[in-house]
Amino acid sequence: MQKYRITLFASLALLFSANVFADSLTINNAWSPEAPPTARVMAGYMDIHNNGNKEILVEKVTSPQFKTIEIHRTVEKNGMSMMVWQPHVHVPAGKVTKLEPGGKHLMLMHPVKRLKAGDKIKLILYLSNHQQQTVIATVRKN
Amino acid sequence: MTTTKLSNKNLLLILIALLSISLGLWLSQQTGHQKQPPTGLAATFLIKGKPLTPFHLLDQDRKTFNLARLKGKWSFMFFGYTNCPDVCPISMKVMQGVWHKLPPALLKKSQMVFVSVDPGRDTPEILKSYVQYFHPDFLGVTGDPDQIDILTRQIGILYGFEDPEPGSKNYTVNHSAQIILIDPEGDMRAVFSPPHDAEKIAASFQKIIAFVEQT
Repeated sequence: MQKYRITLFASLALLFSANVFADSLTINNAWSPEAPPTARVMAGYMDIHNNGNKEILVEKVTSPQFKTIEIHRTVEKNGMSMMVWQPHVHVPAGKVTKLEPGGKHLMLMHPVKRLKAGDKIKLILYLSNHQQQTVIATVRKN
Repeated sequence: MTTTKLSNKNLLLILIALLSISLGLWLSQQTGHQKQPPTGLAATFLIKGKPLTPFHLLDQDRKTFNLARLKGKWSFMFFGYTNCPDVCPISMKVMQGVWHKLPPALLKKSQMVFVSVDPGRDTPEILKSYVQYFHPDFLGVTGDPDQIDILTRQIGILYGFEDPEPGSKNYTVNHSAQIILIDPEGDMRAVFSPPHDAEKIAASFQKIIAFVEQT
């Protein structure tokens, strides 16, 4: 009986997960490096998994804790490191797109108050499939 | 008899030649051993340092930061701006990592310098808070754009400002992400190019010091 209950529970959990993530993203390792006290900008990083069979674009990101958020990519050009504004983050079907140090990242500008290691940042991702997805990123020392 | 005399002479010449060759080889080996440049560096190393011309900047306490402040210490210099969210904090974390990996004897004769190329926003006070977040001993330096350019041009650091939105201070700065090493004579000695790795930079630095102090 116990075995059947576990099986039933597992099946329901799988069914529920499949429904939730069918047309959505799974986001892991969302974090932001703690910034020096006077910093007016922070970076946001995460791994964005697209479990579905259609590409998804992250078109906009907002947070109640920051005045503005932009999507940027750090590139090396003409011997300089530069941040290039990006219109969206492209997450191909069945793939993972990483926002990571030295690459694509969120530029979190003008924090409402200073955030320290251990604090949480609420990020709202606006997707091309007209869904919104909330992500909680952790502020870390590294 | 004449033939014998010539043979002796030839023999003597051959002996002298052999001795010269041996001496030359021995000397070249000795010299080579002493001045063999370090290998396996995570840097472009200048065997003969490049002397810097004078510049005048201010540190985080508004004290003059010029060539004299570079003399007598090994200086790591990174150029950026405090509103930089990605590359600058990453590089400063690397500088912090290098600092933590150096033995105390080397720390005494080294300094870490962050040069802001954005004096319009980065006041010495802001710089102080910024650099000391990474380490209380780190220096933050900036100054007039003309003086910043005197320094950056001679060590090959490039930077440029992206146009801000009208009336906004939200502009970004493109800049080289190299870490420059200056020796205690005030000569440029090495260029560490990104991506930076604290362990490799610390190891390379120690090899460079060993070589420079030996020659």
